Amino acid sequence: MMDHTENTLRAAQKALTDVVGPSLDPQDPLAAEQLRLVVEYLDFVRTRLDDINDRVRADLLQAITIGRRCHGKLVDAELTRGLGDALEEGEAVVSQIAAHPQSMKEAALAIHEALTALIRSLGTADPERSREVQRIIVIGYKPMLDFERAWFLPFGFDPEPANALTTGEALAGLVREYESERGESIAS
Amino acid sequence: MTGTDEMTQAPEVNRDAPSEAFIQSLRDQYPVEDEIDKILTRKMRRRSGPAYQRIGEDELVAALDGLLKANIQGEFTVSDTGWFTGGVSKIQLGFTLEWTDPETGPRKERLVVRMEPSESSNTTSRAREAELINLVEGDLPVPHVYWMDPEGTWFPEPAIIYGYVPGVTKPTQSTTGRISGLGTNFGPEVRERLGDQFMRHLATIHTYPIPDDALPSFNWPRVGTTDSATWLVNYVRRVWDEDRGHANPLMEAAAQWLVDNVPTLDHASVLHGDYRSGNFLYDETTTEITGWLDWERGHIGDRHRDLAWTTQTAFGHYSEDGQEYYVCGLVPLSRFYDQYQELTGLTIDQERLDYYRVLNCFQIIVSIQATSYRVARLGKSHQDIMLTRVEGMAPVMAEQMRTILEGKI
Repeated sequence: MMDHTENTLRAAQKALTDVVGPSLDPQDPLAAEQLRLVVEYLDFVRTRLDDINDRVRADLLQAITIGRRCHGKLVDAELTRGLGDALEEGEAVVSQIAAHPQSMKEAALAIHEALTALIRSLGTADPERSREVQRIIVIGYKPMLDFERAWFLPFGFDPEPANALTTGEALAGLVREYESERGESIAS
Repeated sequence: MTGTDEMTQAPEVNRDAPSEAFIQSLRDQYPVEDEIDKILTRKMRRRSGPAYQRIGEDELVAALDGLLKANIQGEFTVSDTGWFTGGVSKIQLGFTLEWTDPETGPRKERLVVRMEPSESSNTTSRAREAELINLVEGDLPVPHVYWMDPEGTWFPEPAIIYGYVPGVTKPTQSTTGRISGLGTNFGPEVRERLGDQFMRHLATIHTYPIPDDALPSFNWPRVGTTDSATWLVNYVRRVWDEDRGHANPLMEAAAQWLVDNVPTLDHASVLHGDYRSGNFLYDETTTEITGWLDWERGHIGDRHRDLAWTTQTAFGHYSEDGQEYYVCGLVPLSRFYDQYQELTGLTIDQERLDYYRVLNCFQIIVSIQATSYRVARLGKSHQDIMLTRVEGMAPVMAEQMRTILEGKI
C-alpha cells in the first residue's frame, strides 16, 4: 500500500488555513502567529518527507568518516578504545540495506559521544594531539553542514541560497567522503 | 580545564530533570558571573517543573495590579491592554497606566510588561537589563524602567515594567531596489541618516564611564587578564552542557579552540550584547532613533565581542549594485571599522575580532540548537514552535564558525 502521508499533511494545512484560521479571535494576534508557524512547518515537513531517512543516513556516514580519521591519526588503543567500538557498530549498521533509522541514529550518536569524550580527555593536557583532532573534525564537518544547509533552505535563513547544494548533491558528497575513507563501495 | 572530563564518564545525565549533582558539577566546571550563575541554576532547578501554560491577559493584568499596588501610593487605572507579537524569548503586554507620581503629579502613559516564559531561548537577568538601561539613560535613547519583579514575586516569572517607546524597527513601506542578504533594507536615504546615529550610539556605549556602584549585578573583568572571555566561554559551554539534545563533535572542537585561545582584555567596555538593526526603534518622520531595546545580553567586557556580533552577515546586506556590504543594513563595511575607531579612540584587533566571531557563532548555535530544542521539548515557552523553526539557522552559523576555525587550527 502506497504511503499517503504527504497527502494528509496537505489536507491538514488546508483545514488549518481554511477552517481554523478564520475562526480565530482577531484580538488574539499570538494565536494567528502560532497558526501561521504551524502551517509553514507542515509545508516544510511535506517537502522533506521522502528525505528523512537520507538525513539520518548522512549523519551516520559523516560520523563514521570523521571517527575513522581521528582513530587512524591517534593510534593510541587506550585513548581511542571507546571510539573504535562505536565505529565498529556504526559500520555494521550502515552496511545493512534495511537499517532502521533509529539504529542509525543511535550508532551516529555513539560515535559523536565517543569523539566528544576524546576531545575532552585530550583537553589542554595534550595540545598537539588535541589540535590534530580539532582539525580533522573542523575540516570533516563541511559535507554534513552542506547537507543541513540544503535541508533547512526553505526557512530563508541562508544568506547565500544560490550557493547551497541540494540534499541529493550533499548526500552524494558525504558518500564520496565515506567511500574515500573506506576505500570501498557501500550498498546504497 | 582538566585533562579528564568527569561529565562524559558520569552516569547517564537526565537533562529533562537534572539532578542537583549534575547542576552543581556544571557550576563547578564552568565558573561564570555571580548573577549569571544564579539565573542558570534557577533555570535548571525548575526544569523538571510543569510545562508553560499560556497566561491569559486577565491573569497577567492581575499580577500587574499586585505589583502596582506594592509600588504606587494612591489610586491608579490600567486600561487598553494588548499583547505584543514577534518576540521569541519574552512575553510582552502593553497597557496604559493612569497614576499620580509623587514627584511629577498625575500621569497617563503607555507602558510594557516584559516577562520570561518558564524557560526561554536565552535565560537572562531582568536586574542586569534594568541596571544597564538605567546607566545609559539620558545619554542614549532607551525605554525608562519603572519597576521590576526580578524574583517573580507578583508575576509568574521575573518581569520588568518599562515605558513604551514609539517607533518602528523597519520601514513600514517597502523600499525600492533589490538587495541580496538577510538584513533590513532601509533604503539609501534612511540608511545614511540612521547609520550615523547607529555608529555614534555604539561608540557611546563602548566608551561609557561606569561608576563603581552602578552595576551591582555585574562582575568586573580585570583588564590585562582573560576574565572577560573566560566567563563568556564558560557561560556558553555551561548552557551547551545544560541544554543540548545530542553530542556534537564540531561544537566540542570549537569549544576547545575557544579555551586554548582565550584573549586578554585591554579595555573594559559596557557592551549591549545584541547591537543590531531590529533592536532599535526609530521615528519614520524624523528618522531619529527613539529607543534601544533588548539589553539582556549586555555585560562588561571586550568591545570586539559586540563588533563581531554587529557585523554578522545575518544582520546585513549588499547594496543595490552588489558592490558594498552594509553592516546591519546601515553602515558600509568599508567605513565601519575606521569610523568606529575615530569615534571611540579604541583600536580594533583582527585576531580578537575573529575569536569573538567564533564565540558568537558558538553562542548562537547553543541558543538555537540546544536551548531551543530543550525548551520546546519540555513545552516551556509561549513560542515553542518558533524556537524549533530557528534551528534552521544552525548550519549557516556552524559553517561560518567552521570556516574561521579552518583557517586558525
